[in-house]
Amino acid sequence: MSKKAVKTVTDEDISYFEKKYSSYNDKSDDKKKVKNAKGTALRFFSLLKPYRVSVSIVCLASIASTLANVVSPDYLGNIINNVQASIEAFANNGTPIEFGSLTDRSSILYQIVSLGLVYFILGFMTFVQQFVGAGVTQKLVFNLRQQVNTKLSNLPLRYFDKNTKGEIISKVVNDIENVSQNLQNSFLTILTGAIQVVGALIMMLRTGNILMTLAAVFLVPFSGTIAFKLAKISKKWFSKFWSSMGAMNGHVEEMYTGHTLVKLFNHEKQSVDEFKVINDNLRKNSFSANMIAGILNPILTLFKNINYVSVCIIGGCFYMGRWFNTGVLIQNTMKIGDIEKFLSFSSLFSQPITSISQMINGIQSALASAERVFELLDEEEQSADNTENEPEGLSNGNVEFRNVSFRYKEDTPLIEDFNLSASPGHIVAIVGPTGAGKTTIVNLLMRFYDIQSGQILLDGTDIMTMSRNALRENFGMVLQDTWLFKGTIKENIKYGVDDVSDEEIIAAAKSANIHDYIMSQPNGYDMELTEDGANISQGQRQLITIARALLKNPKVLILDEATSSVDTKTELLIQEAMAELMKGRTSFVIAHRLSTIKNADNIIVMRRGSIVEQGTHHELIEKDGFYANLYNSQFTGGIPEDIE
Amino acid sequence: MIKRLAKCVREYKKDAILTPVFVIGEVVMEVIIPLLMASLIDNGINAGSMDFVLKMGVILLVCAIISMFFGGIAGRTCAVASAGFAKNLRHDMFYNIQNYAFSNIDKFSTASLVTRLTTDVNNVQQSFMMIIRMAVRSPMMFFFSFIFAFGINAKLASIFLCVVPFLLLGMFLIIRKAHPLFKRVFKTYDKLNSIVEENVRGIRVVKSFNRQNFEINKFQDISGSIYNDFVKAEKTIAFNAPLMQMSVYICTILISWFGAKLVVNSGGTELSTGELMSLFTYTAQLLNSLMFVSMIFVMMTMSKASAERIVEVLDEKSDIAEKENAETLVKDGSIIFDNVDFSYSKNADKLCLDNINISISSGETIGIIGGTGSSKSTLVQLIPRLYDVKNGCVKVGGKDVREYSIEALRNEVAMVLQKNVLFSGTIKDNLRWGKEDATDEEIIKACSLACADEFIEKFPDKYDTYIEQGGANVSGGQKQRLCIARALLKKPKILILDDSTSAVDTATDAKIRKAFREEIPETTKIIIAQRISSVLDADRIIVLDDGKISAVGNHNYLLETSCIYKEVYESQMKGGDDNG
Repeated sequence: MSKKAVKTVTDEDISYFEKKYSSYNDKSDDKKKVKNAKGTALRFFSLLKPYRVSVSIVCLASIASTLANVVSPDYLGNIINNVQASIEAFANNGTPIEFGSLTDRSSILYQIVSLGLVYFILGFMTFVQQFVGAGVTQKLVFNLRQQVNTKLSNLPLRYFDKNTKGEIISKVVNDIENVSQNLQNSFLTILTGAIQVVGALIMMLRTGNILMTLAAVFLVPFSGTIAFKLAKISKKWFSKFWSSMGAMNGHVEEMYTGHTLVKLFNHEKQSVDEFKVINDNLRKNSFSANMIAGILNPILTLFKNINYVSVCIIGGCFYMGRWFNTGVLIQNTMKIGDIEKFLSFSSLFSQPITSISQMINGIQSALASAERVFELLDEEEQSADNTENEPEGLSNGNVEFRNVSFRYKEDTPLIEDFNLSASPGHIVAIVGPTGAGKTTIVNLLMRFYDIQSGQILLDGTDIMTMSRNALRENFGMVLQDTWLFKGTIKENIKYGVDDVSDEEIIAAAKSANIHDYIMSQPNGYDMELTEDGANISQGQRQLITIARALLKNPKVLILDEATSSVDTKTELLIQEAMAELMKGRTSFVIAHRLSTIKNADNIIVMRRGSIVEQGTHHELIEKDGFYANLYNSQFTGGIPEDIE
Repeated sequence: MIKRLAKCVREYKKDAILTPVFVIGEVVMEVIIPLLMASLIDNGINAGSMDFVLKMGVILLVCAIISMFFGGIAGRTCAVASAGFAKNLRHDMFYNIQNYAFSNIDKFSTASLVTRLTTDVNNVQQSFMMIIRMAVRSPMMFFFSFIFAFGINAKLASIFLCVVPFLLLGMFLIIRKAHPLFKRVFKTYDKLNSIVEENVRGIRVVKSFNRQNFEINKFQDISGSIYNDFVKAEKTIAFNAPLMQMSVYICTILISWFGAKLVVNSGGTELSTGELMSLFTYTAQLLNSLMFVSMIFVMMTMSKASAERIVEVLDEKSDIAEKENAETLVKDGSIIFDNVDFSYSKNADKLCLDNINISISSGETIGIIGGTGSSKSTLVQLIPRLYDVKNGCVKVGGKDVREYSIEALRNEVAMVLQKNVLFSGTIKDNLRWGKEDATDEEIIKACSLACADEFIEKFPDKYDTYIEQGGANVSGGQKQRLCIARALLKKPKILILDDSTSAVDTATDAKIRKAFREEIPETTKIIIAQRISSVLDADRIIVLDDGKISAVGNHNYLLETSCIYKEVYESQMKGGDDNG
């Protein structure tokens, strides 16, 4: 376990891993780059417009509290001056000094009461700023989230197919969070910081003592620069840290996904060795990043202390009226309290400069997040609904493809001049190897994607001339990739329809062969499903989606027959339920069963994304093309993927 | 839990202990500085002694440098200790996970293990840094500031004693009110995440059911409740800073009032001007340190959940243990299942495998068929001891699998899985999983046996072709053939193919089986298949039905005696003319 036991990590080793698993690094430098910082910041501020009043209150309160903070040392210093004067007076004439009255501006009492007042303003304004500010930020985040979420439902499917799930979710959750956390803070820090720096400087210069002012601030530019530099170096290490973290993530994920394999091949040792290399590198980067962050404060404190000492010494000179021990006389302008004032001003002056320089990383990443969120908000939405032929009620279920052409990418033709018609009771089978693009037909029918030329007609009406909602009312969909959400079984079944009685739900469940199972569960229809219905089996999930489709009572059905990882009995139940579902409807079936294919009125054969053949079983067999080849290589044992 | 985690500090114990020591040094210096400042003002400036001022100035500078030195070293040791601690945590977790049996792995999902190793460890590392640095610093600061203030003037210092309880009470009330709110917010965040995820994943379903508005409302509800809780929590927290400031200010005002009185009335003998000034500094230090304590408290409760999740992984014991002095030599490829019962969960009502008895001799080719859920995969997984049997025993080479060292057993049993996994890396890298030091000839040989050479040769980079994560750039059938080649490189005594040629076309499938028969006759081959043609020519075929052996025999025998087999055969070979 000693440090030496770990084999030395060379840069080559680690950069290999980092490159290999770079996709796992969601905090990479690329993600932190802001393309248009100014535009993004301006746009962010424009979001604040609806909260003008609150924002103004927050700003005014911050300004007021900062001003109070800047003037307070003056009063404290005056108190000390008065105290000091009293001592001297006492020593000279033996008269104890009165605290004076409130009307006497130079009395101790007046100064203490004023200080109390200034402090009260300071405290109260800080409270106002935080209290009102909390509401504004949260409201802003709430609205931004709402906007993003609404936007998501208006985006074309293309967007979801193009971006990974993780990226989209990260925008809705993490980026918005990052924006809210950092931007508000940074903005206020910069605003109050600027006031504080200028205010402290003015207060110091007001005394007219340039030398003292210099003594109080001369190291601040250095500490500012150092803080800025160290923040930069530490950022570099942190980004290295995140890239090794990405490598770790990738490595670990691969090892666990392949856990069986690791075990079967006795590969534990090698995987541990790789892990060690990455882990130790992670430790090194984490150490460097944290150390730099850790030594920054002591260094800044040293600078602050040096400034303090110089204020004391120079102040001492002024107090005593001579320039060190040289005997050179200078004007005696400083009292003890004035020195105290300069000490406070010195720290008021330096504090914002260092805190702002440390904040730059945060601002950058928040701006980058804001930019990503804005990019999402600017994504082109799906075309507006055309409702010139808005149907009343449901169609009869006659579907026709007329000279349809479609491609996902402009330069890759997929479907060219495709014709097909189907009416209620008809079955259109879609066959082809896995990954052949069978969902394309679904995408077009449901208008998840728009075709480039030709027409798709529903009861003779071009689907482009009706609203998407009206079109989709006609469709029911049961996919192999079942989609259930957290909620009761009942809620999941009645997902498609609003007002529906319990009897109807039960009837649908019965037709879908799932009623008995539901009743055998402790809470029956009120049984809570966990996320994605993970607490029931795949087969039961499928039956529930069938019940859901039955309840919706669609005119056209899109069905995926695949029933993998389902036991024989459930498979039979599913087949029965599907047959029930297809009765009297126009069905598009992603077919896996011979009987379906043979009974189909039309078979669409897909391969590598495009439709390659079309016809009935007999026609296609006679044609002796790709379908015949597929068929002869046996359907039932799973469709071979790489038949050439 | 803390004890369990503390064990992982190990070689970084020295740094972990030194950090607070240095921090104490830093704190002492920071507390001494105001005292020296007071002396500089009283005995130097006030007394008009420039020599004293300069002397004190130098001492102050030295103290400031020592303070920085201590602080810097503490920063360093803290970074060493916390980074090392985190490394050890990850290391221990990873090691332990490597030893998990499958039943253990099934308990955690991959995603959750990854989060535990990354995010959770980061959280705990942050807390650890806080503890060894701030958790010492703040109480020390409080303690020393108070002692020094007390030393200057006990009566004035007692002002702190009056104010601190109010401040503590206030902070306590604020935390008590805000903490549950924050906790609830974090929980609701999880819900928000899962809703967004549900929606993104099920976007087609949502759209096809025209439920966009429904989903938007659902999102709005959750997002709204986060908003409400957050605003409430933050509005509570908004009292924190003013409370703190008010305490400092009240102390300052009271000290200036009574202090001024004291200085004036005693003519500077009981309390000097410089001392009065240092009392102001102590006020700020003292109360600020209390603030930090409350922050540390909040931070630690937040990382508690992470710590618990880590300990869960560390404490999980592997269900499959290796025997001491285990046998390391597997004699041959014979396999015996002797009254084997098995179920995945200990208290399942139904057995997955029910009284399995079969004896397979070395070199035999065995086919296994049966419907989905008939426990075909389960049966073969017992051979390399991925799971332990419930009753009975599985013997390989004449000995119970539990007698062997796991490494030795798995070296001799190669299994190609239904779910094929290739890793990112070149084809060669992937194949060498089977044998680390395999020569190019061996690799080419194995690939030709698995009929993988034909397509590999077509790639521009041949055996150095880079396979992307999850094997995304090769087809299903190619993947399967690569996996078979990888298993063959092990030169195992037993080779198990779990439905591993499903994506390979029939002709190639037949070619692979022919190669097996001719090139590795001594190896016992077990082939699970959906396609009956894949097992037709096996020496014996086992028909599994619902966890029981329904029939065993060669093709012709089964065709006559087993109706299940006959049914499957007919539906596949004759194409199921009417009923499929």
